Amino acid sequence: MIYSIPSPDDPIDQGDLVDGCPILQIAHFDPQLPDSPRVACSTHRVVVLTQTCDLANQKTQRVVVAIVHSAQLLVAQKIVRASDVRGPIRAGRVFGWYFLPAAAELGLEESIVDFRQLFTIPVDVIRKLTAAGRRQARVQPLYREHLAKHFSDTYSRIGLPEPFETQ
Amino acid sequence: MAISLADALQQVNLEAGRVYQCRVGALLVEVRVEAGEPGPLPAPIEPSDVMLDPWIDLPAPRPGKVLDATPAAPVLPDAPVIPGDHALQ
Repeated sequence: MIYSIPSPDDPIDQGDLVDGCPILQIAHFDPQLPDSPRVACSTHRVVVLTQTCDLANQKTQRVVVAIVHSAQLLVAQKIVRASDVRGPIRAGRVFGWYFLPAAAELGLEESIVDFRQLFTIPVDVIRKLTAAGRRQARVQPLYREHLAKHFSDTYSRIGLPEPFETQ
Repeated sequence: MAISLADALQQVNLEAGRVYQCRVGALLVEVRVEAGEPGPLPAPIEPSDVMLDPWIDLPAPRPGKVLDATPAAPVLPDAPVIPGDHALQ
């Protein structure tokens, strides 16, 4: 089983899938009025990326999260092709995108986590959401480490100007 | 002029698996030819082994309710836990 269902009072953990997380964006910014930008707020399903040890030891006041997109919606919007989802994205071959399989019993559809847009959320906000039952599931160990490895690979990769030549 | 056996054989069209015999003066010379280890084969990059970079940006969070922000205190880093000297001993 890839997912588990933590109880609402379980502590936050890496791999938690949380619905309704508020994400803020700067909607308008005037350099002449730097203290008063316009801010847009929307809510999303997110996955917690902060390391479990940092969360367990309460070493952090903010939680790094990434938005979990519905794969079907991205395909319907022609942002990605279904064949790409089934192929390289599902195989973990695209830096920055991580495939999460569906779990009908948990109401989870096939999803793509976007590691290229990260947000930090106050830990209290995530706690309130989990206490309110908005945590849909938790990615289990092994799969959680696989997700974390892909996350770290996305930001630790070193690009070469061109592939090595071969004979 | 003396040349090495290897240099002499370089000039002969040898085939793997065959045995050649010849007389050199009073000597009978036999050369057994075996195939050597194959060299490294060309190694084209296997496409399925190559990690890809995203070819598009996934959607940013959709704009929801827009608010005027108010000034706030700067966000400070979480205080790191720095081990004392005794922890290094």
